Amino acid sequence: MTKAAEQQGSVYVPEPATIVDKKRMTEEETWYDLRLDSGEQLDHDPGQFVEVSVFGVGEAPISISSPPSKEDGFELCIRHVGNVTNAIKKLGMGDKVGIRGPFGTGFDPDAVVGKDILFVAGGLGLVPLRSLIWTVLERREDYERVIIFYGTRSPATILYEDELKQWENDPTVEYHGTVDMADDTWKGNVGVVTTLFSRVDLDPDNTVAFICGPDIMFRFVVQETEKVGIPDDMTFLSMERRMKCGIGKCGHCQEGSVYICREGPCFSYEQIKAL
Amino acid sequence: MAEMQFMTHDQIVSLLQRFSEEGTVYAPTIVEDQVDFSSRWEAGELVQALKRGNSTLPPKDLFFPQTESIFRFKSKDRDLQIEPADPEEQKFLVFGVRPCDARSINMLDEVFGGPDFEETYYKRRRDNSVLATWTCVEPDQTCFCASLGCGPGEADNADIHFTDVGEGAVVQPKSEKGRQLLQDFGSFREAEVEEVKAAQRVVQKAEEQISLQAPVEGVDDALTDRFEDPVWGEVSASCIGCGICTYLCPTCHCYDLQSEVWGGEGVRYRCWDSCMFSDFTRMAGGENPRPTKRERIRNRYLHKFSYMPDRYGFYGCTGCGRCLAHCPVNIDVIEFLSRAKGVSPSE
Repeated sequence: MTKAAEQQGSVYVPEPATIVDKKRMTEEETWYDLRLDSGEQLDHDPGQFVEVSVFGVGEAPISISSPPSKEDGFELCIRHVGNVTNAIKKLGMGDKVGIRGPFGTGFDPDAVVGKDILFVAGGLGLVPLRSLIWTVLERREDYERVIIFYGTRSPATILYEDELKQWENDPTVEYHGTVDMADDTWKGNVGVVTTLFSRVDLDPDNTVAFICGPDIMFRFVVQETEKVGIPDDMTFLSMERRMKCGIGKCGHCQEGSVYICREGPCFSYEQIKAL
Repeated sequence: MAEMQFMTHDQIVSLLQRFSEEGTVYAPTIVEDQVDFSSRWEAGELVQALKRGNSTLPPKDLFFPQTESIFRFKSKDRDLQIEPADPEEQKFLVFGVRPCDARSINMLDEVFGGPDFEETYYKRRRDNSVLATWTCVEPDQTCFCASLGCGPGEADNADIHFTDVGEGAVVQPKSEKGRQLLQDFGSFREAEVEEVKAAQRVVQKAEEQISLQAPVEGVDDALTDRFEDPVWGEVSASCIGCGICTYLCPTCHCYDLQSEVWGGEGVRYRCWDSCMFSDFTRMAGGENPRPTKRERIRNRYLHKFSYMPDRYGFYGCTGCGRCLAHCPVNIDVIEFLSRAKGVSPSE
């Protein structure tokens, strides 16, 4: 929680924030650059989320897409699928939203120093991972290999295309993209994201995997990481649930005795495989 | 002050009346033939209301209201104003709470207080209130509190406890707040040995009336083992998803944050929600981790009897029997727990 929120004394009262930039990324998703009106930073960890309010409509949990190092404000990439996210679509530069958070437990880049880092992102799953990817690349010398797998449904649904090109051209990054269904423009890999595992040799003793995507995707990806021999406590993922309160009380994201908004959304596979 | 005091019924009424001058008293009140906790309790009917069975609604809403405003907002063009709702700071006394419901408040203290984040709305109400319990002299046929380590005369977390012995009640202050309540507002005398013994007999008699038993011993493991069992489909088949079990449950605490809007103004409020509703876990994209009533009922039972023990160290059930008494399709928690454990329900 930011200082202003603490002073207000209520975890449920959002802070006003202003949209300072926006860019349509695909048919369904828009990228936003936001500033808290208080001038404060969110001070988040990669993988954490905020609750975004559109006043008069409601609130939705959204992953923070920018790395903590970003100096002014923070970025979100929002898929317009529900009441709140469709209302956000109508907002423009200078418009206000409310922000609560950051909430949840993120990924810890310090815990995996010296490792080969494998990122596996499916579709919108790139959004929370992007925060961690940039955090790792900013301190590139702390890690061994950096491998990024990114799969989307089609070329038209690819997010952050400019940044993907940057990673592709970066000699220190092994980037592999794929689409489920190609079109005439597509010259890359075709197939689900798990097909990319055959393209690289991974060292099971020194690789940490960070996986983010739909539930169904991570089930298949985990089969691959287990096949490679990456231990379950070295496999991390982010779960998506209908988080409401953000403080592990309201029950919407409860899964077993775990509240995803509090103990998660980022977990090691070891922690959650029983859920 | 000795631990056991005695107050006549008139003295009890006047204690509540004197407290009312400084704060609000919520006491059992007969409204349209059912008992509710109300600030409009009747002095003349108090004793009668206390002698009836437990209240239809548990008193949890006094600490965790069905709806409460969080903030108001006004937005015009690009000007946005957010005004947090004023916290309620008024002192209040909840009088005549049954020990099972007092125990549920103990559980809610853990939920809203811990394990790692304290929720200020609930805490403020707890801090500003006094909890006065009343021995349950007429347990209902659906009561099974004894199976959950509770009982008609036991209220560990009460501030002050009353046991009716006919002309008055034996009074046991149990916390500093309870002792203060007596000193500031009460007329009383030390209880005679005979009166204390009479109170013990009342409790014993009430205990004997509770015949219903829930087989909760080891049920957490039994339920977890049966996660994929067809029993969940069978139990949930008749459920109509009305949510009454969660609405009347003294330990259910799920909530939502919603808005109401008129023009450019509105209010964000917190309100009760129910895990029995089909959209409770549904995400904006349409994915739903608990898509059918089978998963929803399974989650509710496991939450009470496996997940809450795991997270907080106690069963999330007090044996108050409200879900049993009010389910419109007679879903029976005891029958279900018995089936899960492979034993026949005992009466």
